Amino acid sequence: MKGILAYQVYLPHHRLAKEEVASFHGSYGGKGTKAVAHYDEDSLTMAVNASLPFRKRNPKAIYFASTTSPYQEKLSSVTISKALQLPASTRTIDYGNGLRAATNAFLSGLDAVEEGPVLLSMSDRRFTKPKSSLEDEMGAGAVSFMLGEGTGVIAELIASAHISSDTVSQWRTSTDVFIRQWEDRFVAHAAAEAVIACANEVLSTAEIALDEVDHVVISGPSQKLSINLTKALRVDSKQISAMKDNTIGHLGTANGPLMVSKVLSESKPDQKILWLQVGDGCDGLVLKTTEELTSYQSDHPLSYSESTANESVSYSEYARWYELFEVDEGRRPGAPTPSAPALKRNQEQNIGLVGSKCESCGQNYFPKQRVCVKCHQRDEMTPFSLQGKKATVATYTVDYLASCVSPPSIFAVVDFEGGSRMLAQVTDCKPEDISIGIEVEFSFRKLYEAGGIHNYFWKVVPKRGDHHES
Amino acid sequence: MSRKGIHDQVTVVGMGCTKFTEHWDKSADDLMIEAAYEALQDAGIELKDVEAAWIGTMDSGYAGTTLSSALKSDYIPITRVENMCATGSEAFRNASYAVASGAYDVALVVGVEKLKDSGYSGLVMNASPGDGTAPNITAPASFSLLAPAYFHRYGLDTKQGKEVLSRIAWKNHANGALNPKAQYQKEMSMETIMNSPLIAAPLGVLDCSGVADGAAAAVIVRTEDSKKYREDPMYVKALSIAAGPGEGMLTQEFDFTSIRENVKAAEEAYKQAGIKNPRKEIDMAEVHDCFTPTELVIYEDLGFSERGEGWKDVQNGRFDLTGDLPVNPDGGLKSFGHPIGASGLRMLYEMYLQFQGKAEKRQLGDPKIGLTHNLGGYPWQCVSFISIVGKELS
Repeated sequence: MKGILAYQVYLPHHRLAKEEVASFHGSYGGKGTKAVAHYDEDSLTMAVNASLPFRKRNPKAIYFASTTSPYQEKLSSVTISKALQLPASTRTIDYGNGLRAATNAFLSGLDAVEEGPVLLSMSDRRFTKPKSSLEDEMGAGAVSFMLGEGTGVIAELIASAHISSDTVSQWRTSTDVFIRQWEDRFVAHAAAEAVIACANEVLSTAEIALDEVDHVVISGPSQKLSINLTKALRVDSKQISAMKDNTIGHLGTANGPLMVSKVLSESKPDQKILWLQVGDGCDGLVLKTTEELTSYQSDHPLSYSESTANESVSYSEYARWYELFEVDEGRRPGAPTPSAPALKRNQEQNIGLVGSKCESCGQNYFPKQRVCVKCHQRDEMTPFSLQGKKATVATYTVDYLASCVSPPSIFAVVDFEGGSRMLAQVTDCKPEDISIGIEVEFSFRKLYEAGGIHNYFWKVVPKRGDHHES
Repeated sequence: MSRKGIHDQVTVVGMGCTKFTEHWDKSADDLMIEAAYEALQDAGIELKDVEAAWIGTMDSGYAGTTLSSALKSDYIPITRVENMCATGSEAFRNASYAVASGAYDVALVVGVEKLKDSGYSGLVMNASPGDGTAPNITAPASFSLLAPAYFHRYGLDTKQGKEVLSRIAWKNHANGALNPKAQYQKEMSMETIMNSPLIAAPLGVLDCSGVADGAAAAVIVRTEDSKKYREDPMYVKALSIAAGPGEGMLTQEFDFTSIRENVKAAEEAYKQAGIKNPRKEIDMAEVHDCFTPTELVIYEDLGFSERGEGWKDVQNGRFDLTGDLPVNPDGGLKSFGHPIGASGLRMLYEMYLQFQGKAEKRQLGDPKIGLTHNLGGYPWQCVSFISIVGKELS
């Protein structure tokens, strides 16, 4: 038995209302919101945050699927592996170039689980041209699955099928920032053709009828078209409860996995899920939940959670964060290009969040030190990870002068369980939300891009939920 | 701690200081020339009499040639010194020890900074290449970390705390208003200061030192030679500098209501000068008021106030021009402005004027012992410099 062992959804903290988008462009908008990435979040950072709970499950491979990888040429799966402190021998594979990257990676991952569990992270932050029909529904977020075999499987793969179709419906060139899409009606037509053919194929392989499926998840080119496709396929409305969300938006490669996760958080054992993933054709998967699901749900109540995420943002904030227009950088210097040798020397520390511990007196440090400031012993240090350590604010400042896409910058002196301390940037936080003594937790973020290098590091956010490793 | 301090071994026999302001029409060379010649003339000597020189600048030039190129000095040894915002003081300390050692009889110290040619607002430093993960925190924000920590520890609410900080800026503005060389010669009302635009909450723009261009200079000789130059030299009684290992951001003991380097530098300086009770024995001080919370913790770190009492001394006017221990009589970094490399020498310049009775409208009674304090870095890790200077041999 092969399938999903665990899942974790990561959604950004902020929501943009469709009405806000419409009002900016001088029109009237529909109801609902979409999840938008903060200025310091991209597909990679969200994938890391969604994958953190799986650090101790010892995946043998990291698969990353996205249409919006931060680099055209440089693997994101490697950075995820480093952030999870996995050994360098872990396989690292990136999938992209279309929405079916999610199902391609999922099925390839299942093919590989005999060698050990596979961590698959699907993440997207999709860019749409202002005022385009996709603008108010293309969101941002990530979903990570642990794939494996044997007794821990909570949803087993029963069957899969594939229909490819070389159709110009939704695409980007190698230099396009914004998604291009042909006329809606044609896109709907082409997608329906592939979805119907694929659904028939996979249901016949699984030897079940459509009305025997408990949950249908169709991830089409857009939210609106996904709903249209359920009608084309003649799905009953009670089969698509997971597709009716109006708050998060379309998450690209993470869109289907988000709905599958929602189903897994709500359904019972022995239920059948049909996941149809559109993109240059369609992939179809039939999954069946197992007896394991019930205990998984009670042990991991936050695997699917929207609770932390409901701060609304204005269109102008969204536009700045997504760099929809150029802003003056102010009379302050920009960030210098990080040094590649320095990044390499410090990658365990900066990406893995590993400091040092003095074996002579027990004091912990971040960043790592060679000489202990307390007992002055030299080179008595061993690596010490700060991941998952309780952290509280000792003092803080709200910096209105520092150059920042989302001012003001908040910095806090953070004290960790175990005795170390660091000066950390606080994100997803308003000035009124910070005070001495509050608890914070780490979130993986992009500090800035300079010289073509995305510089990733950890920031802290006010603790809002009880995340725990699984 | 040093075994042997500088105690009265050297004196200052000439000083100069330019106006600190946005010198749009003057270069760093212009400023160095002005300050250096004012000091030379004040000492009654010529450039050829100078045997060695030190130039302090954080970023307005590299190497000793920064000064030799401006002054066209004749192949004498010149050392460029950098110690962040304590650069000017550090140049003075190095020159003092060189003269005390007997290696040179006459040394010139010049400090300069030309900040306003950069086009940036605030202070900007050239960082060494690195992994770029250090927080992009500004100078005011890093010192404002002291404010909530101090308020929290001593039970001040934000409004009370803000009033105390504003009172410090108010005093320094009032003093600067009496100083023709200060960048801001204007009194500011408490209301204006308290409502100034936020820079690093709770600090507003008027809690911050002025960003200025300027230069200052001193001529140093051994005490036994000083009467050849003038009857009223300034005696150097203590020079200390403490460079911290940075434990403030590595361990949790440091609570951001004090700066450890200040405490260590003060202990050493008081020992060298034989000062037992700084609150009583020091007649005036120029301290590093880069931002108002810095001045507040300095009072306590230097023993001008008991721990947790500094804010009360601020409120009761102890550090005002008319108070028992006037602090920053020349307006401080706040009002006089802060051209980095020049500031430490500017502080000594005020001591020098006060001892000689030349401080005009801000002249204090008859001060005999003064202290300058100059800090470079961050509250959790810095170099902290203290000098004690006097009107008389002791």
